[in-house]
Amino acid sequence: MNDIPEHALVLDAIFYEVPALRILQGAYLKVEPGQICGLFGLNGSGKTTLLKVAAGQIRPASGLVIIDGERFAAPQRRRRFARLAYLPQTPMLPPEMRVATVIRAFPNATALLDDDLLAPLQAQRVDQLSGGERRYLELRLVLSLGRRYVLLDEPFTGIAPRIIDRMGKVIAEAAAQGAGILATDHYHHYMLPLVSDAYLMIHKQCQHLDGDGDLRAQLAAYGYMAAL
Amino acid sequence: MIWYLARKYVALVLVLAVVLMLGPAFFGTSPGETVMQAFFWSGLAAAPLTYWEFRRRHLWPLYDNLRLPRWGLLALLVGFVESLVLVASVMVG
Repeated sequence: MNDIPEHALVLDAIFYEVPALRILQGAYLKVEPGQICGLFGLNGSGKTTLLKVAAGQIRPASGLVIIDGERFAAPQRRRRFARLAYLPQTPMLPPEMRVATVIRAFPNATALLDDDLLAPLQAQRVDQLSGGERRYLELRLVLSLGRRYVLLDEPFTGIAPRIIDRMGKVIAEAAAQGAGILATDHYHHYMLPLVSDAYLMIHKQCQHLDGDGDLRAQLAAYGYMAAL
Repeated sequence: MIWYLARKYVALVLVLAVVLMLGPAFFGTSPGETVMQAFFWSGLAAAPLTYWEFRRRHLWPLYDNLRLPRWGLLALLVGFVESLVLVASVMVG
């Protein structure tokens, strides 16, 4: 067991399996407030599963999610989400709902009605938005909750570079305001400049990378991406 | 978001109730005789069906982010519908 810091989101010794497949075998990961932590890994390596465990969407076979010292063995989503926000990989907004209605459903998101990208879209239904617009809206809504830790599951995938740049700025601002962010995405050329710490999912565990070192070289050394 | 969940649940209750009334009506029973039982059972059955429908559409993380308890909200909706059924059945006699 590793030392558990008082102020951090810690996933400790997480095991998860489905019939005939072990997905996680003792994964450990730590995110501190104000930090953007990248979680990299090949398709099927268990990144999304680990984020789902952290968000209480699925129960691990064993292991603990520890948020600022509070241990969560059961989902306890209402308590967990007092300090956590979660952007899942799949769209989470009701498609037939209008953008303005969705924004007003979030307690501190009314400023988004003046966002220059979202303001013209207020009257549209969520299913009329482009993929990038919808993802940007979801990200802004999740960050507007002001939770201490934010889990982002592939926020950039399939999104146009112009919107990814905006999303990157918003994520960096949230971290600068003290949010600890755990993000996973395959778009490493957008992720690497953002992150201050990183893990690589390999052999069903989280390999900690040296955040002060060359992350690209480390990822290449583990075979996640081609060497320069 | 609570209204959205309530709308989906009530719509499902209505559909199930109509189905439950149509079955006996097909065999000659008057729908008026089965309406209360139909709403009672559809009110119960609609809760897990709504849960699975929201799960299928990946909507529950939205409610988690807003700290709205899934089963708590569904239990409230079931209680509301069953209370209405109870009141209606007492009034009808």
